[in-house]
Amino acid sequence: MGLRMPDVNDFTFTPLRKNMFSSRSGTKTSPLAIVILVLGSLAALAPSASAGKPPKSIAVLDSLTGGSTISQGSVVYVDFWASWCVPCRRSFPWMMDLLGKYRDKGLQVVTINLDRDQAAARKFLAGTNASLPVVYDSEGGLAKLYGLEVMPTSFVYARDGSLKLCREGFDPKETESVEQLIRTLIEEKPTK
Amino acid sequence: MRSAVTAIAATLLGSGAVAASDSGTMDSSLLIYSETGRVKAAEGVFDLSRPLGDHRTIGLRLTLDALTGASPNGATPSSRVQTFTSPSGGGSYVVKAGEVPLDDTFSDIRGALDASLKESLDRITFLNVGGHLSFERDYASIGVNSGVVREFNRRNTSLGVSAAYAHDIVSPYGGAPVPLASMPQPNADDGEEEEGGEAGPGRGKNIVDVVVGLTQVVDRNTIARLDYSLSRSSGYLNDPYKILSVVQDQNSAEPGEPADYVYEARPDTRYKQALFAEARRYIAGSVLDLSYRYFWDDWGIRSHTADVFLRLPLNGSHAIEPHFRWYHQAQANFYETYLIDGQSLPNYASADIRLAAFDAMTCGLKYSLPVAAGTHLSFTGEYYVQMGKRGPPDAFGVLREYDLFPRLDVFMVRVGFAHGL
Amino acid sequence: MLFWLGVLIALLSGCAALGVEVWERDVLAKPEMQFDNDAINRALDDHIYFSKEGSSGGRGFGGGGCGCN
Repeated sequence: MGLRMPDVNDFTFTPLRKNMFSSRSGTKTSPLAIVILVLGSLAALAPSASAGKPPKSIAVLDSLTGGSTISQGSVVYVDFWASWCVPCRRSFPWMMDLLGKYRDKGLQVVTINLDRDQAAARKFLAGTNASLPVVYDSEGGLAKLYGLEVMPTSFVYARDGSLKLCREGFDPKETESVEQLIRTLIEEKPTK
Repeated sequence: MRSAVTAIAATLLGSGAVAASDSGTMDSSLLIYSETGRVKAAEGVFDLSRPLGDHRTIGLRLTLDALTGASPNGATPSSRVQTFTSPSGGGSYVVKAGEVPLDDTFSDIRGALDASLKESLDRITFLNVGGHLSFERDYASIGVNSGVVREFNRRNTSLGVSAAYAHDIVSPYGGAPVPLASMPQPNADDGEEEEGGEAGPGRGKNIVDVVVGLTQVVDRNTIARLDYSLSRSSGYLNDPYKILSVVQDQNSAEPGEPADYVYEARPDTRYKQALFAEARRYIAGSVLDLSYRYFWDDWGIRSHTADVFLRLPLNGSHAIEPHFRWYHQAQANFYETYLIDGQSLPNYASADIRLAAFDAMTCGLKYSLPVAAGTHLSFTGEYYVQMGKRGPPDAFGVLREYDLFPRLDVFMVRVGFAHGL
Repeated sequence: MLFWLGVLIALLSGCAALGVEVWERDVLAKPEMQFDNDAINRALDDHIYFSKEGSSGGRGFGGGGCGCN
């Protein structure tokens, strides 16, 4: 599998019950996003995946979101956010900037929205210029799996899918060092 | 006559969390206060809050108020005209027969400045420090406060402790009178005082406050808190302008008519405690807030305060918020409606109706609306009423003819303007 | 004194059972759900009632909110 970064328009989503239906969530303008509803099936998964420890491999997230979210061999930046969380909203321009700089070099950004009311999230995204991929986790199953303790929380996975960084909160002063880490991870030779 | 205590309470307010906010907030309010036939006041507050970096917020609040009008001096009504020495600027004032004596020679302007700095030491620990300064013609106050708040249980619980110290200086017009000394006879010719008043430097008062507070997220829609506060005041705690009527006893020629007037006397220390509980719940777009405070002190005052707010959203981000407050107070143990001539003077005595037993109610309505992005305007109208006992059960003579604690009606209007976030 | 410390500890441990996850604080993040969202009005109230009544104070400071960062 090549290093092609999937275009968000390509995404089809596969709820775990294996109904295939594609979505072009272009109903509002921007966030071209995949919509994946992680439902009760995740509840079966969550307790066994001890709540509180973020999965060490990106494959877990990949499988929970239908198997075609994560592009193999990319550096992945995963960000949990909600529209009512002020620091989360502040991190968006920076993430857009990151994506703009490193997308072609192998960075993938996946944001996971935790708004209980998805309309609020869409309304926020429509109001910004953000075109970041969004996974909707309104029931909080993924958040619970990742043991979120702070909003926002982000994770950086290397090309081999291993977890390299867990960052709680958003502090503009720390963005430089995170970007540094991403650059380092991008430089690593892609496995396989 | 105001103390710094309220200012301290106000500075202790404020969320433990440093708002991860952008350019800060600006909040202002104007209050017009009017008692029927008594005090009229206007108070303006201007509040500014700005983040300094990501972990610090600085706050500044300016308060200006002006009051004028009449307030009870503590004496009882008489079937004759009464003349009292005026505290401010000498001279005297006259009260008609049958009326509760009101001193209408007051007018005052007060300015206060509060500054505060809030810092988050780490994600779950917050520190705040503040200072307070206030001046009016006969009163000055300076204070400092500091507090720390820590969060637990995935930030669902927060525990905070705060302490404040203030030093107040009371410089009454005409000097602080000798407690329980007779009020000097008003001299119609000139404004000179006779014996009975000390001219001289102001009298001091020290106040220490401690508050311990626990806040808890109950569920997704409910938050609750419990606060305990302890306060110790020491120094000059009298109201230098309040007197008591010494009335002729039951067997005299004119029972209940004033024979003399004496200045009040209060203890020189006071320990106050309060337990406060509040819960706020989000119910389908509306917000209900209920609170209760039980207060007790070593002057014998016990009070209950219950407050209800209900915020109802209207179209277009407008909102209406009715509000009701109920208050009940038991009197201070040295409160006397009047003293009786011939009986030995007690150690402490005050006829200040604020220390009497009474019930009070407030009902109000607030209307708020957005006027621009991030800017809100609000209008509040309130009615406050205080109702006390007509007189002590053993009132005699002419005192039985009068309502010694007539109902106090107060109307208030506020306009608020807030910008930011 | 020790008794009240015990009460506080009991309260705190009881409180450990209550609460919500950090991602369930959407309602709590609303400004109208902050205890001190109307600080100026509460300060004006405190001033009015302190001037006309014999009690004062009681209200402390709040937590709650979105719990972000």
